[in-house]
Amino acid sequence: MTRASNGEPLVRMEGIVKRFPGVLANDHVDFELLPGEIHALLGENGAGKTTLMNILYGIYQPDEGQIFVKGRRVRIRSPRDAIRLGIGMVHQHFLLVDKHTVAENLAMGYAKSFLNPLREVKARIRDFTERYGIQVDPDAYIWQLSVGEQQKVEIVKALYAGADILILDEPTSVLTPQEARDLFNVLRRMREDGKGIVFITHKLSEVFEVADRVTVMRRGKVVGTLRVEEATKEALARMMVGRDVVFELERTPGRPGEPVLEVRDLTVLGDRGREAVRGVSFEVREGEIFGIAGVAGNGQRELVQAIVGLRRVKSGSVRVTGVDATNRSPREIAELGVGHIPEERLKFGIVPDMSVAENSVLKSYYRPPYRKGLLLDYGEIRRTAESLINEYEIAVPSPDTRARLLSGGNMQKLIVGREIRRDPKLIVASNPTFGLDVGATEYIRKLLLRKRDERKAILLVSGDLDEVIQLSDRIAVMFEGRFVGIVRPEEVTREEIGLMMSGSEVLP
Amino acid sequence: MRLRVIKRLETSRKTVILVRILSVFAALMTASVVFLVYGLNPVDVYSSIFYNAFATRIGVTESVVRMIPLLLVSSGLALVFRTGFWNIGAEGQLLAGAMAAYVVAVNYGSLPSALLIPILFSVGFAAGAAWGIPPAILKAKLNVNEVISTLMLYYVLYWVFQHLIHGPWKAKEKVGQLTYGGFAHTEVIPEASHLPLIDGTRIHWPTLLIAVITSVLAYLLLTKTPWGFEMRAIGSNPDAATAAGMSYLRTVILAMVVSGGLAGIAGVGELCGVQKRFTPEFLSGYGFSGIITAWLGGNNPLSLIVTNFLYGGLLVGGEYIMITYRLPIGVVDLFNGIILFFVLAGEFLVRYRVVRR
Repeated sequence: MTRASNGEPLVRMEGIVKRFPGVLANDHVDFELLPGEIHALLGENGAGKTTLMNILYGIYQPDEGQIFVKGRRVRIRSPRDAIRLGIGMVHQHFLLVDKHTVAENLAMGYAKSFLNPLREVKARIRDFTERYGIQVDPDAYIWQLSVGEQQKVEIVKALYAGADILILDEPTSVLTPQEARDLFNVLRRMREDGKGIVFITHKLSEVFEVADRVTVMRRGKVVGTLRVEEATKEALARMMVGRDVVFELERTPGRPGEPVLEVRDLTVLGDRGREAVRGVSFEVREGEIFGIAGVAGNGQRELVQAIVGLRRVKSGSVRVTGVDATNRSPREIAELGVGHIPEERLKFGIVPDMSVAENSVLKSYYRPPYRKGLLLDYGEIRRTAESLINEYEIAVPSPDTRARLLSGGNMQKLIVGREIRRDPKLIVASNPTFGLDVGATEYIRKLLLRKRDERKAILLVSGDLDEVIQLSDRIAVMFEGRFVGIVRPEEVTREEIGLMMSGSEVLP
Repeated sequence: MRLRVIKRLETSRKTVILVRILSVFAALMTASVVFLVYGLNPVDVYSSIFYNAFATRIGVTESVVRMIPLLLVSSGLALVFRTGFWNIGAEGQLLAGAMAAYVVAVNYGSLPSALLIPILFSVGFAAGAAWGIPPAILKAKLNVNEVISTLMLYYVLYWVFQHLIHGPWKAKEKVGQLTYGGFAHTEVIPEASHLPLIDGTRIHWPTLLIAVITSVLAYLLLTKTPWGFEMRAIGSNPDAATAAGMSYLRTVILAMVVSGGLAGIAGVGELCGVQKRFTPEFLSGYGFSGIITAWLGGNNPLSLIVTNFLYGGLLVGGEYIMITYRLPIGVVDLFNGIILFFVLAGEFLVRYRVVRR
């Protein structure tokens, strides 16, 4: 790896402190970015990486500390200030106008010529394509673009504004492995050009693939900054988590039995009335984890919602343990023995203003032993909550604590425990470890494997390809509402699944 | 120096009480200006408001008379607000209850009181509930904003009411041999439909009894039963609640039946216990004031009773100074408005704190 220069740092942040109510998000953080380097900012969710970069980009003001950009002490009060200083940021959520073309999005706010700005924009885009290898069609409408392509537009937008300091917030979380590799090539060429790039991530493999240096954060503090050559995967993981981490899960071959979930020719409409799921058929057997891989937005969400009764089935059928469950209500489906670990746990999984105890019976409060006559038996509800708290190691002061005060990992343990306690035959898990720290992730994955070995049928939908490969007995790859194929993880490579995620059919 | 607003994670009881007291105090200071403009000594005005609302027998009983409809309306609203459904049309549901009771009272006035009065309350409850249900269905099925639909349904009924008392329901006046339609009001309802009063007061005790009992029942419904569990879950996070198998439609309808029904009972009490006939000024805004008292006192029945009694006292005291000091009614409304404004603004401080940075 080459480094273009060792001159003055582009950015130096010293002693940055940022407090949020009840949280010290950044605790005297020092950070430095050199020209011509790709600097990975590594840490678990909630470690304070994004907060630190939002401070650099002017979205938050630090409570203490100083920022120097290109040697000058600066106060960055807003993203506008940041852009003027040559700082660009690509967020996890893109800020583009859907109904405009790429060129129009760029012309808006960035083009300098008053008359026919589109010509200027197109010329600059060609320029960026040549210099960095970023391929974007200036005449394409944003809504026509894949998530990966939209991300490129965001990068071009930052370059257009004159950024020589580029911050990318978890850029690969929405990409297929191939798209991620393209992105890394673009970043390397920008590094050659002397730009400084901050790459926020929690994936160790990416650090080794693309970064020159890595700063590891844990609980708001910087644990250390290393050159990547000096680092090992184990050492970084230990810095990140604060203890040793086991990377391999022990997994015995599954012994699938009778089908529990049977889906036939299922077609489901998405929010915009277009077919999001188009004629999908599969079955999940007892003692099996059936994984669905794919880039987010290819119909996985709609498929899951149709199975658990939250979205109408247009045609086709869903059967659970042989009983027709097509278009039944969520409660009826739950009573057939389906447990659901929803994506977006804060939105669909818990009621934040209710207590942990109440949340622990959110799906069973209406029948004995929780309901006695007209009233609820709160003693029984609390006992259930206490046993969940013990069994699933949920860190919470008391069952009466409001659920909103739980961390993501504890919230997920509560949801998973609640579902498993109902003793379902089928567990539908959507991105069950999304946003969780390494410890909680490990916990949830082991639990799913154990439930498989206890003869549960498990449908696992995840945007994390490694997770799907690690856990599943069979994997379906979903692309534009269809299954591109159903494969066994031991028979294909990660790369082949990656290709299938972008729609290419692979012969098994 | 910059001020910033930070959400409080937990608020202690002491803070709440302190903020309330200070807000009332600040409101009195501000309202003093108005009285000074009229050349009155604010201390005199305030002491006479307080004295006449809470320290005389008639003041206290009159405050209770006003507390009755407020308590009924706000118990229901506290419940429906916790369900996350903003029923702004309790005034309409109150009117629906009163109108239904009027029809029954006029047509079945020959029944004995002991039979007629329970019927009147039941009919009033049913009519108020019926007027409250359509917005719940519209919201659940078509996502129609309930703030608009509940408020609009109030206006619909209000103008139907005005039409009826200026036309079909207008009383026939008799002067000597002449019969003619005179003022826009209805006949007085038959004797059997008049609610019994506590001697020497205007307190119609059956309604007071119902109001106190239902405020406790509504609270128990919300906090101790499976249906209340569903209401609170849907009010806090409808997505998670429906994902857990709860029915939005059923829950919201139930909350509106309770809320609309209690407002309807308040209407029966106003007609049969206080006014005995409809006039254009039949409505005195209890359905709207109940929104405020529900907001201020909706945590439990006891605080609802206290809040509504104090609010009732404020109304009585306002009327008193209007008469004694010959102030225009606008000044009294302004005074009440200032107090409410400060108390509600104080609620902001209960939920957030302001820090210097």
